[in-house]
Amino acid sequence: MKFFRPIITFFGLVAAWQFIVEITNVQRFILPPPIDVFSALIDQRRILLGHAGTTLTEIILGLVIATLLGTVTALCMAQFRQARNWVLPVLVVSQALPVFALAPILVLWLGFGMASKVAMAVLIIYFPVTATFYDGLRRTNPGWLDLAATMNALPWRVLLHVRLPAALPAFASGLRVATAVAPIGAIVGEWVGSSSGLGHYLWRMNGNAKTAEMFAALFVLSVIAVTLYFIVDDLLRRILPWQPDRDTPPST
Amino acid sequence: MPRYQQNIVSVIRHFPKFNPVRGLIQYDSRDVDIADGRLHSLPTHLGEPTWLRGPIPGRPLEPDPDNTGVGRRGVMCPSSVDKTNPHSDDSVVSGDIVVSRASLTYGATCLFENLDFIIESGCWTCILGPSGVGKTTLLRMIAGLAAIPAPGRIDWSGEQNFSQQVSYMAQDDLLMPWLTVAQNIGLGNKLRGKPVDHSNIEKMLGRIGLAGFGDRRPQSLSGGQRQRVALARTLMEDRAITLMDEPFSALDTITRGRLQELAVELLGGRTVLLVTHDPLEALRLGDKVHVMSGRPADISAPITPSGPAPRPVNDPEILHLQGELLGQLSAADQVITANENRPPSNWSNQ
Repeated sequence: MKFFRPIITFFGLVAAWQFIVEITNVQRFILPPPIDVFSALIDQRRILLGHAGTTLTEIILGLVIATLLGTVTALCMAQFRQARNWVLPVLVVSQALPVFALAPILVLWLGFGMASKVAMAVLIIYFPVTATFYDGLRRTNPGWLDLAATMNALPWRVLLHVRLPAALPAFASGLRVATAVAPIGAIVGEWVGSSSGLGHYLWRMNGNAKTAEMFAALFVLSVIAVTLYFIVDDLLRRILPWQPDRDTPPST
Repeated sequence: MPRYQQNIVSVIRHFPKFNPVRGLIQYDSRDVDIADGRLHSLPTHLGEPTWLRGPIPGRPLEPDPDNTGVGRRGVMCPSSVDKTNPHSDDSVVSGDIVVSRASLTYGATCLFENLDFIIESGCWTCILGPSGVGKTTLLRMIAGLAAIPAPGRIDWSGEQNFSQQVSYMAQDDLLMPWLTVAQNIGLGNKLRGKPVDHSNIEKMLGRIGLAGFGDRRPQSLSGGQRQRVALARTLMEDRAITLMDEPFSALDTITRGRLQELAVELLGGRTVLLVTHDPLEALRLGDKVHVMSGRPADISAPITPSGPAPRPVNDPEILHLQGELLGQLSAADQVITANENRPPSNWSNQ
């Protein structure tokens, strides 16, 4: 049943969509019926798959790079007070600037290739990863730190063996958010200037008023996003078996 | 430890109640105030003491034999040496901890001021007091976890670095959920970057009655088992001094009793400071039981329950002392809560 639930939801939504098309009799280029989208999906599957591959690569590269960067930044901020004062404003600005405004500049600097899109994804992912991980590092149970202090622990060992693992649940939340928003960066980057990727495909189809194809691309993107999210979520659960989790039955 | 500190220790040690010696004692041609057996002002410079060498003119330093409340402490700690001569200078046993002039102020509230206190080597010293009296902070000061405002200080007469001889146990077991039981027990060495002694951990698991639990995670253990693991982790540190802040208070009565017995068995011979709000626990375990009460708080002269710990809970002496302590605590509580409009308890009227 658990497995079928999303499928039922999916078909329910498709049925509602079909129903709206039927009763409003709307133009096909404004809202294509599901069947058109489906046939576009089948017809364009090779092209879509190629573009999806580009986008997926960008997302994954962005995730990996941003997670590494974010982790290192958060650790530095947690360990050095000075680093925090310097980095925190930059961090906030990185999130406050609209990606859409930055995209043309990044494309200008890094070219039409993958680099600019990965940079976009990194920019979007970096903040939630860094902010949540840093927050987790700051909120270590003071009792653990007291204990470590009476054990004459070395500061960087406390960071590595106490504060870091204690911050992992917070880090996991950040990574989940990051995974969910990661496609935005890649797609926006592709939209602004590229020769492949789902964003590029969307931009082209948009110019040609091929709405069914756009929906097909969005569908592929959704599948990528959902799959990626569940893979990351599952991985994080495996890495953090000690974390209380209501979704999994308590081990006895 | 500075010389003068040792002599102060001698006075407090040998005249724990000091009733007949109210007034001044001359120290190195300076007047040192002694009231209720506590030195309220310390000499600020070092020098050869004069007042322990012989009788002080006009004031009896020798305890009054007719006064029952005065004299050397009646009961010796199991491992402390017999100090028969109150005039000897070497009465500070290596390992004693001397807290002098400790103060704690929260905003406008002074919790304690100029508090002097000794934790004897090889003894279980209990500080019993109502919540909020500052006993946990005092323990944290000794543990080096809280700053001790000047001119307060903590001196240790032991040879090694004090901070490397302290182990700490809190009410929360502080087990790390991502580590296994065995890894939690070996945490200290890991945090110090030293090799973890696996065979010793196995032995320790056996001693706390959790052999075979090494690979389990703390979440799968009961509260009592978790606190046992915390005890094992404390023992793995193998330190002369153990500071315990209500380590058993979150456990049910039966489990608590078992853990108290285990702690006495495993920590025997070490210097232990146990902070608790449970008079029975203090009397079961403590060689010296102090009551910390009042605002600003004072630490009473110790009660020394007889017999080896853990003492039976149905021992008439223990029960009697428990009643007495409850009375004291209740009276102290009424002082503190006088302005809070809380109805006073009537423990002492029973």
